[in-house]
Amino acid sequence: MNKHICLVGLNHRTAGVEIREAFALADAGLLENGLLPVGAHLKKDLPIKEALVLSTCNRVEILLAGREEKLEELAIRSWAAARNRQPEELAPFVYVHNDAEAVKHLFAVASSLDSMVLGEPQILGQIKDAYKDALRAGSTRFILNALLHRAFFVAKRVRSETGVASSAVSVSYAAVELAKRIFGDMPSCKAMLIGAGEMAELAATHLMNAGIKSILVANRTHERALELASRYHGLAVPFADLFAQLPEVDIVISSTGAPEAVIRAKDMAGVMRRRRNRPMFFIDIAVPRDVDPDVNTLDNIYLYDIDDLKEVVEENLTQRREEAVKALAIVEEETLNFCKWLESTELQPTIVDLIRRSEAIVREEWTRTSKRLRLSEKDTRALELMLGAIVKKINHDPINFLKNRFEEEKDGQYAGLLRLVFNLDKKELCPRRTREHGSEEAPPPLGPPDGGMIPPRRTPEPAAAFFNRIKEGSK
Amino acid sequence: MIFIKILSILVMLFYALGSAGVFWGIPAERYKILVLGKFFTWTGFALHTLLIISIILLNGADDLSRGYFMQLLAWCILLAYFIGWRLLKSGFLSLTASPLALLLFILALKVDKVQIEMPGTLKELFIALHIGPMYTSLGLLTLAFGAALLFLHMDRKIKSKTRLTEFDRGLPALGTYDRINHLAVVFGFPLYTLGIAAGFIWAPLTWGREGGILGSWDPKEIFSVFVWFLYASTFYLRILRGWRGRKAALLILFIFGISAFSLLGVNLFMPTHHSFGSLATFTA
Repeated sequence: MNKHICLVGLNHRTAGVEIREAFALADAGLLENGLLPVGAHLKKDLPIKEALVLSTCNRVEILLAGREEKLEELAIRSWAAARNRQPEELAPFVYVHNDAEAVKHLFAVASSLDSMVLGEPQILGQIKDAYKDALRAGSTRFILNALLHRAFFVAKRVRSETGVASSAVSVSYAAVELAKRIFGDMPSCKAMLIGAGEMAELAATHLMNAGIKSILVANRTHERALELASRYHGLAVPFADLFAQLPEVDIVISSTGAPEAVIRAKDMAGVMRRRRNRPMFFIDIAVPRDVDPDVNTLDNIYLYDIDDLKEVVEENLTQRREEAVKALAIVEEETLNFCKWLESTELQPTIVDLIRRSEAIVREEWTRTSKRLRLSEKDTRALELMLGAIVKKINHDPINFLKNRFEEEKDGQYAGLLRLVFNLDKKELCPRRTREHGSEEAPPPLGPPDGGMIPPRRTPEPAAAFFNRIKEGSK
Repeated sequence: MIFIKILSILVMLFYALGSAGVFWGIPAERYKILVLGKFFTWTGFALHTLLIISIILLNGADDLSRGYFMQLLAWCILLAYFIGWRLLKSGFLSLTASPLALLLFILALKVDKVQIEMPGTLKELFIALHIGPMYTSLGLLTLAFGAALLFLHMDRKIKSKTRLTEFDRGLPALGTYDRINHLAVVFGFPLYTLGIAAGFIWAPLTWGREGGILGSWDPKEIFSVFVWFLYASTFYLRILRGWRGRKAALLILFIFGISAFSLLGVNLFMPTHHSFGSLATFTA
């Protein structure tokens, strides 16, 4: 690959939290302050053309694109310098991926396959933010723009085609998912917190986010109940009134410190009669348990204790790991597609120039000739169509040749040859002298200055050297 | 007529493929096959619609055989499923819909030549008050039957805390199935009552019967009344006593089982004026 993509980084697997802290780049302004010399950003011809910096609590990664190899050394030096450290301190923790490997790594990270909690959704947002920062700094161009958009697409594909992110992997969220599976219609549900605790509050927050109607809080110390109730815009009820309130609520999250069960099956029969058998869901987070396991044997009551929920989470994690295999196949497929596409863009400028050049010639000749012939409008149109077809047909074979050969010869020398043969760069034709002396004078770099949506052209091999090589090859 | 024959064979073929897809796809958790099964079923349904219209257009509305009404019932049940499927977004419903449609359709072909004796008086009113409500309530009942199966499946899984498969995760919440059950009871029972009442009013008008209601001890009538009592108690238990969930689902399974037997078993194997073997009025 002539265009190089390089990724240097460290993550929770390669570096401990101290190292990650020491080398975090979130506020370092690597791009904004020009600490990392990026061509696109500084509008100069530099080895690193484009760059993007991703820095989260679990990973720091720098994505680079340029035309030379060994971009990583420069990046690591700038990275260490930005944190006032020595590159040697950083180097042992850093992984470097080049080209296809870098693309694959980025796709995997974006799809949350490289995350600490497999399939967690935050990482994609973090990459999007990093990309926004890079856009603001002006440090991305053609390659990274295309790559990042592709990464977002791949992440979306993985999300929709595999179950990597489909099920809850925290106890409190697993409880909410179960509630959805039982009731379906969350906005008509009421919940009750019995007792308070970190996990119970977390579950209550998730329930609020899922859009339940209201939350009641019952606690042995009423002040605590009032405090919690105000936080969830709910209602505090006296602990003694617990059973009077139960017929009104659909979801019960219980986490008292009581030494024995607070709610038993025999208490529930009356409650269920009063609520006309509408289903109830008990989430018992307390140890020892607050809700007698017998309650689960009653119709229309579902009881999950902390171990049940942990088991659900464990199963979900196992399922995510299984799905990750499928996701990886998607990532690999998309990596291949992207690399192929990137290679083919090398040809694009030559193809465009070739067509433009022949069109220009045809147009010039046509304007000259058509002035003299007094053709009807219909004839003019027919002739113009014909000229267009001729341009297409003449260019058809050279373009096909280029595309086919490109697959086998990655140097792109045929593109260079074609440029010379058709004089696409509108230079004075090479004098005979230079041909005889071989490649003593390399032609200047071709194409527009770096940047823009059309990628820069590669420098073609001098024609003489090319012919020499062909001759040698045929011997 | 060759057109009708070809169309009938095509419909049967698609229903068969649909049933096969569903029966293979769901237990094996092969979702592509399940989707294919659903596609075949709905293609069959579209062709079936065409078939029902063409028979009316070619034969005229007066000369309809028992098979035609049987076909119409298969079509009505699929229509109910189609609506239920749109509401529930659950492919599991087709587990009962496609095979049921296939079974009824094959029976319909078998009894196609059996002409029916329609009442001479107020025939249109009879269709509107007997056949229409009966078919609608049967459609609702089969829908609730599918929903009840699903409810029991998911209820067991959630209660026993067993691991949910990918298929289970795609299913709607328990509450949705209970709402279908509610629908089938609240609307199905009055419709069934209307249909059965119309049947008993028209029966003496058509056959001139002595002995009053149930005087002929026709098995079909006995079964229908039995189902009506079951339906009525379900209505009472569900609406007035607040039965829900598992028990309500079991009741619907029971009612559906008896009605299916009444529809297929009685009509096929017992002497009745609804029989597939004799000349008599056909109802569900």
